[in-house]
Amino acid sequence: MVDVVGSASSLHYAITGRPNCSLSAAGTCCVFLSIATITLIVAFGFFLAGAWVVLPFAGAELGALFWSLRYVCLHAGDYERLTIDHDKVLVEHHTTKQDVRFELNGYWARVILDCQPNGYCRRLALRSHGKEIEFGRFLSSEERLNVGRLLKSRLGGYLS
Amino acid sequence: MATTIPIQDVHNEHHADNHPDHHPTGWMRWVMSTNHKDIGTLYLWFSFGMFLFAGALAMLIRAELFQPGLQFFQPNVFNQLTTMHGLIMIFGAIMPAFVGFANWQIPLMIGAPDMAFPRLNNWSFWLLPMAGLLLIGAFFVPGGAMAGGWTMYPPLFIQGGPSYDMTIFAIHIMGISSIMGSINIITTILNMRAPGMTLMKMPMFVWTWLITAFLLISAMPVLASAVTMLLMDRHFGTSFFNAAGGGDPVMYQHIFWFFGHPEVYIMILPAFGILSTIIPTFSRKPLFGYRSMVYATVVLASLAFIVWAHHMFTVGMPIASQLFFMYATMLIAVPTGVKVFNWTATMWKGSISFETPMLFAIAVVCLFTIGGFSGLVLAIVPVDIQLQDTYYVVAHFHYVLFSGAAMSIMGGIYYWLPKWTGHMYDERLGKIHFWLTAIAFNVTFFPMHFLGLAGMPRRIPDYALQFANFNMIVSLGAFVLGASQLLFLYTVIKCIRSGAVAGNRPWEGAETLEWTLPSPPPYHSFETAPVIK
Repeated sequence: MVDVVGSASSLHYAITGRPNCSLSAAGTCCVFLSIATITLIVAFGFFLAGAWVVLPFAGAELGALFWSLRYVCLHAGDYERLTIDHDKVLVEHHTTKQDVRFELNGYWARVILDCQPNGYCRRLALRSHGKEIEFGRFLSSEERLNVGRLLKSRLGGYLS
Repeated sequence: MATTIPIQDVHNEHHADNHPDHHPTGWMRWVMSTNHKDIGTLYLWFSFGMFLFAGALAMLIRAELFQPGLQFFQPNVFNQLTTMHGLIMIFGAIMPAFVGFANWQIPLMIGAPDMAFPRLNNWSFWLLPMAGLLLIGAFFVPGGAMAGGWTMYPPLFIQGGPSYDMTIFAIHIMGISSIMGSINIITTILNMRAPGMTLMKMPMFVWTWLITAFLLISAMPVLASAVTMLLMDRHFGTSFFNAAGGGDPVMYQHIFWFFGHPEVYIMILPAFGILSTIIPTFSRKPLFGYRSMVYATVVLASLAFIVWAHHMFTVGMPIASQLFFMYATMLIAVPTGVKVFNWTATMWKGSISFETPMLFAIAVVCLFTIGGFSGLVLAIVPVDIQLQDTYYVVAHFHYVLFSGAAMSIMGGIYYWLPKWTGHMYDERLGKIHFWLTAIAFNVTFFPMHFLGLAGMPRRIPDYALQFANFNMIVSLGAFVLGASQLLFLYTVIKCIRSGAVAGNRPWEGAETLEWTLPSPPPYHSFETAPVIK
């Protein structure tokens, strides 16, 4: 999923990529609650019949399910954002654990666009001072190509 | 709090070989793989190995039963063969095969790049060979393998040797694997669908697996606790199921079958998903009544939790309970009938062609329906009390599980093999395999109905002379059925190694997303989610 702010020629341009998440937070809660309800009803039923061992197993399983769904929920908010503001380029990588920003000088940064002969663009990165910052993990091949072309027109150079 | 790092301080974390087509090679590719296609392949080969092993046990069983009297095995060894045949077929062959299909197909069918938790996926698979080794290794410990039947009923189970503990451990391992796999499948299906793919646009195979994963999660703690209580009764002085200590052996049966009946649906719902994929493709029509198929699957899964006691009518229960479980069991015929009707209606006036996958699918619809009808017969309490533990029951569950599950798996493999390998399989060999399997299956299992109706009990190495002729026919059919699976193995290997090049969409009626990819699909597919209109 991609959000774009500003046009290619404007002084302020930002593009944000997010992972594709088809399950909302409310949906996640519903999924967990529905599974937990069924599992716990069954477990309590057996508990009342004397088979209490079902309860800890059900609890452990629901714990694993909860952890998994929570992990998914937390990472649903991850994003990558590239902002061009006059001569400054800012690349932000946001995850649950950290929020990292790389600042580049627009005159020095060069664009690396790694495309296959069949047109599939595998990788988009910015290079400056011998280091590379990748961008576009959440972009499609076509979007990487378009962003790469835009960056080429806006930044210092272009490598392919 | 955001941290801004000047570019000079950034380490180059992105390696040049981090691109979509890069993948590890050699045997470590398979050990370390987190790729859904590799793991799917591992599951399928593991299940095929287990299928051949458990099938070999079945051949030994049928060799012993070829004629009356003890031929090759003592009764205890015979019981080991029947027990391990059942356990390995269920937990080692059929379930992992469907998980293999899920791994290969679910991400491809919903436009996801991989499973939601790839490392968990790797671990889910690699637990299975450990469990398989424990089950097979049980034959080599003092006292031999478990011989108390795959249902592990106490008090017999509590009295067994070390192989019984190995079986408990194996079941725990396989349960953990199943739970992790189910969590992965639920998360993948619900959270990684391509934009535009609403729940009601998902292929039926994906729907059936979503519901199967719910069933697995609900049923697995019950099985895990049942075998744990058996372990505690065996070694830690508890008396959950020991009547002498105040326990109740019948409670074990309730607990086991509360897991056991949903387990049947865990093994059959993905098969329904495969059928619902194959039949529209070769009928060149959309699936008839898609919504009703989804609802029927949900209803089937719900009914799975309220019919368990039909497996244990003979333990004695109040008449009201007998009636409840009898009628609840009969209700299963309604959603199943919806499915059979819809498959038939899909074929009706379709432009049908009879490639091997379609032959398997049609055979499954017919043969599974026979298994369903014999299930209805067994649901009737007075009839069930007569037929309990006879060969009629053996015939019934083989019509459900071999023709329903195993033949669906075979059809599914022929259907997707061109996609997976990039080669067309040998159609002539596929059809020979189909006809051998279908005919030998019926020769093997149909006479078992007659044996059961005549009163031949199951799980015995010897029998009365009156059953001799049918048993000889059954054994001959079984040997042909077993041998024909070697032809299946040959056909699959031949397809992997050579064969005509399969295009992106070798089946013109195939409409699901995986057919938009090349055959075989790239190692990393759908890195960018396709948009579904």
